[in-house]
Amino acid sequence: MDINSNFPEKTADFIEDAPFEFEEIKPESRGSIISVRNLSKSYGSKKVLDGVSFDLERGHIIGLLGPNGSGKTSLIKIFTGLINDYSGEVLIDGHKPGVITKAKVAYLPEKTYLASYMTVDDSINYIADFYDDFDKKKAMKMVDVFQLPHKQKVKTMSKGQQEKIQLLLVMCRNAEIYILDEPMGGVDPAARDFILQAILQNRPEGSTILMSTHLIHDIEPVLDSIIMIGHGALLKQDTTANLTAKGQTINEIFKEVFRNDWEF
Amino acid sequence: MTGNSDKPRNKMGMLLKNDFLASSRVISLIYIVEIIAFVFFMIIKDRGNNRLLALGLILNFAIPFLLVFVSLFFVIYDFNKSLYSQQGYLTYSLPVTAKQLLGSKMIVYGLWMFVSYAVALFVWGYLASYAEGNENVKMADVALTLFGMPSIAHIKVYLFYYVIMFFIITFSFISIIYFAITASHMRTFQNANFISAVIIFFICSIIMFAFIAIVDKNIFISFLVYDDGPTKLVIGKKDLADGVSLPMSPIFYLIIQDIALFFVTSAIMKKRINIK
Repeated sequence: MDINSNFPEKTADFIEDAPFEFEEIKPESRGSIISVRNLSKSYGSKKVLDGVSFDLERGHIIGLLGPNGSGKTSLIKIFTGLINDYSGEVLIDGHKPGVITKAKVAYLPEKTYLASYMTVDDSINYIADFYDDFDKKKAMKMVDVFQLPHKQKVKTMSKGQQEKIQLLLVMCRNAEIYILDEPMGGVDPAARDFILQAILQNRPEGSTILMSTHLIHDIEPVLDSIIMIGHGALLKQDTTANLTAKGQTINEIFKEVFRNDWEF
Repeated sequence: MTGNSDKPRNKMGMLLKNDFLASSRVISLIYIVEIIAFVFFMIIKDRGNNRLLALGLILNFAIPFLLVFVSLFFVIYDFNKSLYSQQGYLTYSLPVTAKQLLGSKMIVYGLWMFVSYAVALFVWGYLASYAEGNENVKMADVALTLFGMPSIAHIKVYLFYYVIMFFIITFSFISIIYFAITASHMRTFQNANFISAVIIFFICSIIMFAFIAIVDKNIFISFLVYDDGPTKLVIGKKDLADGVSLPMSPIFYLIIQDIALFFVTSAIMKKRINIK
């Protein structure tokens, strides 16, 4: 067992008490689309990421897993350039998060982010203005496929319709990396299936998808690899093939890793 | 992408376009209302119907206030909404720099504010000259009184000076508003960001006026415009018998302040803001 000596006491205790062994995670930089070295991020005195290092392989569908407050969204915000006050090094396709990487990354936040005045067509025109890789024709076709009203304001739509338009705006980009924060959160099982299919069918060949979610069971079959973070540390990273080789599902492994968080 | 380079195309033009479109949806409606009110006044002013005339005067007096107020409201509302609400997730993930985001909003809303002031002054000036009896002749006199100009001969020089001054003050005002809103969204102030923004705004405004007073009193830079044409920038105060001497130090101070606030605000936007 190899534990980073820089871990805070709480994290070290957690790892010591864990009912399984932690693997030593050695970052590999070859073929990685995202490279993270000694990444730390604090909010006041609370450290959400503490010296985390890892690489994400190009072309994979990667599940970013962890309990609430584990730093998933902070990590995503760092990757998408929304948070810049962190220590350590983050490289997206060889570049620090900034204007260049923002043009490469298609980001679906957990929140509804479109302006209140925007109709479906307005939002498509807006994204088309800023992203050279946005396929406007495909977007217009998908509006019809998704049965969305072109002229209706997004803010007056149902939650499901809002999810669809936001997903459409992201998946109609021919991006190198898709970062999706809880893309299936708050929708019914049928909608979850629809969203997942939309992601898989519209993903350009060779692109990387990093998807954070609590709904592990739904996405498990499509994941190439996973990364689990919690207590400020990287707790597990491997391909799903390796992790499930002993017959365990990712869902079961997740429960095992984070069991201590919910024990009385 | 451009050629083999990873660098995306500059999107400043798109920011300006979309900020203008977003703001014009509401602001332009008030301009249409003002145009209708002004045309109404022009039609009824010589008809001898006192009730309609009074209505026209009241509308044309009140709507420019609304114009300035709505423009100012949007300066604050759109900046806060597009950058610091959930919409910030979209805005901050665009492939543009913080300086471009800020610069675009300053240009678009600075121009809206400036135009709203200009329209208000024109309409009120016209109403005042109408009340004096003959708008064609008296407009110049109203302008002289309004801007404190000494004579018709210098009206162009003073008008130009005051337009520039007004323009810069408008931008300074917006710079301070944007700095106050941005600073209030830093983690330190985030739990009480409205009150923080108001306090920061007033502190910055007091500092600005204090510095303008100090600079105006102690640092003399004058722009001399001679009646026969030539102009000259000189250090020191100088009264001209054959031209106009314009104080420039407040303008230079405001320009420096605006540039400093622009860089500080964009640095905070880039480094210290976490969209919730």
